[in-house]
Amino acid sequence: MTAEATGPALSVSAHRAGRAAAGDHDLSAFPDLARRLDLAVLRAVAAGVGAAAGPGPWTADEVADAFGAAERHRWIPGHWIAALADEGMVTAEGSAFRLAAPPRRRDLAAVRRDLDRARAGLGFPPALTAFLLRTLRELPRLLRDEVSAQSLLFPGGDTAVAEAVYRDNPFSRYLNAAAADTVRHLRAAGPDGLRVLELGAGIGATSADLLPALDGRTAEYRFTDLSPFFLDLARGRFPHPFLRFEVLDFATGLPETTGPFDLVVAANTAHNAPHVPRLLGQVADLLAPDGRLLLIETCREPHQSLTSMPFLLSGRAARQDLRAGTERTYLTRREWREALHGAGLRVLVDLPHPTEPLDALSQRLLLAAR
Amino acid sequence: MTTPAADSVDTELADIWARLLDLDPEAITPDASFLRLGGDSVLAVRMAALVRTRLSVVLALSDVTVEVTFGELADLVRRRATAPGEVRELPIDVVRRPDPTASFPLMPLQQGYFVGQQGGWELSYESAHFYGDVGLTGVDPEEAADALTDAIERLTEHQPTLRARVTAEGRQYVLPPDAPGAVPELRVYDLREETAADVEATLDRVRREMATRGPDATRGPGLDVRLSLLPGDRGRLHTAMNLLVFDGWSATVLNRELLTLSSDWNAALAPLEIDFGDYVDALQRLPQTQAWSDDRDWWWSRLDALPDPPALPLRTDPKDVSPTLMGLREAHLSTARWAALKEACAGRDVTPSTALLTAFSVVLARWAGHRDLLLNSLQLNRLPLHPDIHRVVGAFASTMLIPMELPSGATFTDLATRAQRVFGEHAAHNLVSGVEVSRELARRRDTTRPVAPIVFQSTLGMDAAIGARHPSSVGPLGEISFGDFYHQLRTPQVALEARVYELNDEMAIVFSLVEELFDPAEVDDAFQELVRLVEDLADGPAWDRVVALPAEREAGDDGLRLGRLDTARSEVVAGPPRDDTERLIAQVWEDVLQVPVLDRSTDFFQLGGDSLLAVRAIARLVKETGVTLGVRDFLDAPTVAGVRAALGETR
Repeated sequence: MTAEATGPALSVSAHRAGRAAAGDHDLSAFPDLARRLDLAVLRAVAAGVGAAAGPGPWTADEVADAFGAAERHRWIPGHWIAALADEGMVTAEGSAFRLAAPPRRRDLAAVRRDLDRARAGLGFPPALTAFLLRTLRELPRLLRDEVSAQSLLFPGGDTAVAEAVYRDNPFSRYLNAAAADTVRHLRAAGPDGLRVLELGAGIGATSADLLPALDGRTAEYRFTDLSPFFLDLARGRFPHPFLRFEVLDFATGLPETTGPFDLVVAANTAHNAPHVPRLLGQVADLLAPDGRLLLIETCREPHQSLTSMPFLLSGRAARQDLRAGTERTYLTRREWREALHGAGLRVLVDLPHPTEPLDALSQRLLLAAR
Repeated sequence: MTTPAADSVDTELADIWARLLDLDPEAITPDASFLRLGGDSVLAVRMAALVRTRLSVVLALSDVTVEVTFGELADLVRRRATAPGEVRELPIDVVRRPDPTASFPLMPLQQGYFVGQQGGWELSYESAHFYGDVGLTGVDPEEAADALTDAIERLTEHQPTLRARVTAEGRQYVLPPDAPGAVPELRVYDLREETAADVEATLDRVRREMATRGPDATRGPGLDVRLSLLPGDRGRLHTAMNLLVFDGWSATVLNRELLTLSSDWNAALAPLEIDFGDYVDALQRLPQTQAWSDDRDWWWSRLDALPDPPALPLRTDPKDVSPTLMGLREAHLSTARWAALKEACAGRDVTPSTALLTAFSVVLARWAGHRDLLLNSLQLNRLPLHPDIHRVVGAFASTMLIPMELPSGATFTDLATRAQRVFGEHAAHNLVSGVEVSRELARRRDTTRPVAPIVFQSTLGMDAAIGARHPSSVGPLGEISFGDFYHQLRTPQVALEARVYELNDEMAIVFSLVEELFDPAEVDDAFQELVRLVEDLADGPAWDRVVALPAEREAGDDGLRLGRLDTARSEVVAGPPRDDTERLIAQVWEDVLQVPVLDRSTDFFQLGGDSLLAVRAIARLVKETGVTLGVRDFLDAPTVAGVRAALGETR
């Protein structure tokens, strides 16, 4: 054991930092509000399906036909119907389904209000409401591939929506601050300072908290993403001289010769790997002895993401891991822990505690050591 | 400011024209004029706003004429871009006010409407408003009311002016969205099970009620929306709007947005960066600018040479009528004829609005028996100070006086060309509104009667300038039957108003008038003559004919006529106030006018008073003396001595 704090002490400190950063909110209301947000979006999805395909009965294929869905998105209506069936919003009739109740204007007006109230109660900026309503409005065009989910998430190249989702809310503030706290005492294996690799860094929502914590003892922070759009954005945003920017598609493999790293970061991105255990194995190989992997992951697909996330996944390589043959996007908490263990990594931090209100969106911070 | 390169100016400009005129950019050649390509003055203002946003070039109002060719405008934009400061720029910017609920003054025309609602003024009504109802088919009766209620709520949030209120002192403010009573309440008449006779009776009653007792922003929302559900999944949508807070342009925007939001629970309107209050706030800075002073000087130097209003024969002196509804005459020009008229106008480089103004003037000249006419016009244009301005709802409208001097022996084309020039020249000085000009004219003519009660209003081209068309299919409200449209207008200080507007692809010509003033047969004749003339213009032959007009106007007494009404007042002996009551009156005037009142014979309006200040002075005097003083009493003798006498009579 080094001078660094042990796992439990790390967790306590990170949790404290996260709670302080989350801000002053009525956390006890969070689980209920998260549920309301989910149901509001799902009701609106039901209305969207009803508007395109009528009250039913219909099969998933018939709904896809009614929308005129593009080939790669044809699986999505079925995905929605499964969620609707889980919540009792559609009823099964043989292999087909029917809307449990025709959507009324009065109810949909209430959905709009509920959605915004829940959004506000959960501490998300108004941009989230605008984004969710926009995606709901655009469902037909999204399905027909006439408009891309990316263009709604980054309208005109603006990152306000993505900031709302990944940074400017109590959940993200908790996770990002806790993440920064866990790397505060990290020690470099090499003589020049820390070497860090961030995968799928995106708008730098987590990097923005990590960089100040690493400043002064870092030799290299490799900020990578699939899209040069984000590298360009980060170049303008972060002044740190130890940053290197690089296009990298980790789904196709990691560079072999550039290790070892003291820290690998993957915030809201690792689930995009077609085979998570393989990715974790590759990461483990890149880590220095006692190097760390920092993950931020969603561990249950919330209904509120049904109008955006599925469209981002459609084009990607098929899942080859335990999600193969399913429509699952994410791994559960237990699956992540097992996959990390399988890659020879020890879980040091796993926050928030599942009984915490801040777990309402099932977003977790996992820190594992080689 | 960066200088746009030559080719980028051409490309951007062609793109702006193509968008506004609904043309292929390829179709725009350097020598094509905005007018010839189908543009008009309202659209030209919208174009100026787009040029300002997209090319960062501010065009002077006088630059933005409809006659400008693409090549000329492109040159101008390049010159302006390289030599800023040379132009008469609009020297103010609209920005958000720090407190969106803070009160702000009434615009000049709003003051006119506000005062008109106080009663006692010539040709005034309890409320100035526009009422309309339109037929609906294929209504979903279970959902329609909920959809409309939802739309009204969202529109009230989107357009702050729906929450506007006017105070007793004649200022206005906007309620916060969650204030009690902020959202206009929908009223529903469920007549689905009624007999045809009962349906008719109820519709008549609703119409009469909404047309005679319009919404009034001094008491509640300025918008009243009602829905009748009729047998056979039909319905009617009734709307009344208080002109104190909404102008005609706003009525179109409101209707469209209301229908858009009704059609879909998740329909979205592009957010607005500014509201009406921000615009008014910016305009408060205008009088400090050189541009404003220049415009005022331009108008003031012309006032004494302005002609009189058309001397139309009257049955009754306007001060002796108290109308409740205005009379109507209405005719439609068919789609084909309207298209032909537009083409005929474009071929002669005049706008359809100008052609209609000219035709109206010709008819008035024959009716009045003279050729020099002072007309008033309602101007719906907003100053192009912000790219969102055309989508904002409010009482932006203004008036503009137009002297129509028709030479004898001229063809209609000559008259229209001349009118186009005169109109453009006057419109280029529109920083000072017609209301302010009229006030000064009344002062100089020493009258408290309306100086230009014959009005022309054209909204031809407004639809294109606003952009999106009316949705005809509106979800639970079914389909709109544009052909099944009933409307009523009530505007103070107007004896006769000619309105021309587009309705779908037809053009409507309407007379709104105070029926009590005129011989109905003469009104019918004048209206028919106007419609025939416009049809002849659409068909072609009227353009090149010499227009028969009356000879020079004769003086002499030939009965009661507009513009030649008695303005004589009782003589007052000059001197200082004589008793305590006179001194009190003088004191109140000094407070209200902020000038010394030394003589009991000085006219309130000559001292700089206007109608709004008169209302304030009357309110103060009533409070101080406890004696009732009517607006009429005040206007009949607006001197300290005159008011003293009026107070004495009732004491």
